[in-house]
Amino acid sequence: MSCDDVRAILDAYLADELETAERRAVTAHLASCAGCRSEVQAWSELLERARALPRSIEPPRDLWPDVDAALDAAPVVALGAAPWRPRAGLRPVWLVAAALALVVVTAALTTFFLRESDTLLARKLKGMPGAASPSTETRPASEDLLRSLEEQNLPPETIAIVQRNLAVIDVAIAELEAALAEDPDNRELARMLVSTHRKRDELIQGAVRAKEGG
Amino acid sequence: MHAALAVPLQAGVLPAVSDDLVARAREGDRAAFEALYRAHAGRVYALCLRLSADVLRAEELTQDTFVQAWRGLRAFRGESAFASWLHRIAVNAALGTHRASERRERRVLPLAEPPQGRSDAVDTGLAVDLERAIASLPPGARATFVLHDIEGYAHEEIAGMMGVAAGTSKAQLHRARRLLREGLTR
Repeated sequence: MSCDDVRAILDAYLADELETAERRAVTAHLASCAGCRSEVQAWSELLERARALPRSIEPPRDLWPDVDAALDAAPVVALGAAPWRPRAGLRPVWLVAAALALVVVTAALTTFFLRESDTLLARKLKGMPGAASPSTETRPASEDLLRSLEEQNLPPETIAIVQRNLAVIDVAIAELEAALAEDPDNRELARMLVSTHRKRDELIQGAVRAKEGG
Repeated sequence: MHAALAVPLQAGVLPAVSDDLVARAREGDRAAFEALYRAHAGRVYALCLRLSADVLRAEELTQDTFVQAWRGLRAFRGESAFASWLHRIAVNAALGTHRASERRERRVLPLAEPPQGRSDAVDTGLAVDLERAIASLPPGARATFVLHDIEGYAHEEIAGMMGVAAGTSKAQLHRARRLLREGLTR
């Protein structure tokens, strides 16, 4: 085993991830190579220093006032917002539609950052060369759904709620598309864009299903 | 002997948070959420600072993280620790930012003073040198080093967060360590 061979697998050696035979070969090399021994020592010290770095660094100023102010400006999904009250006489099915709309949008904005894996999206993105395809792939379906929603003759209150939440999602979509225009090979941004478009579809589908179910 | 280096680094060091605070914050209690902010701001800021290598951006990312957390608290069901959940939000925010800005001119963390952090037995001079070296890494290598060697995430987790293969994460880590080794011995 050469010095280059050893240095190429130093990470695995330090993490104790090598097979027995390979580990023995590295150990044998180290016994006879002062340069590689020194390199192992240096890498070990580097990792020890990294472990000793402070895990907590106080911000140079108190950020809470800015956070607090931003919470006040949070969109309709923010906690603590006054619950929406339907006007008297609204049928229960519209309550379901409205609640569903808010739940879906909440999920859209939170899972936007938190979702880790999604096999459907993985299939959509598989082999995707650039960033434009998720948008063009999903938008026609979304517009069809929106048309079908408009044809449902929903009451103005429900339409307003759905449109308000659609606006929130559309802002997110616009920001993602802008980011993708700047970084078109970024698969993560593309994945988030597909996910956000899907949430938009789910919002509309949810309202349609609530109407059909009522 | 070197196997000890493979032990997860962050186990047991995340600040404990009262479930009651989280429950109250989920119900919209702003004071409870401020208490959560006070308990976690330092760790979130440290993470954002190292991932962005930019003091002002780190402040923005820290704020964004807590705003996102507030919005998402109702979706937080407690399957993971609150701190782990919060840190994942911060990582996603920071990685999204660095991906978008990767092509822009990179700014280097202006560390005239050592970070005022909390850690046991930190040699300040060595720590500052290392922080500077980390800040000067290319973004992908820096993110992988911070997440793996400082924050203790596994390659599979990092790969998921960065949208790359685990092998890519390993290659980035090797590159980061090699560059740091070279940078620190100059």
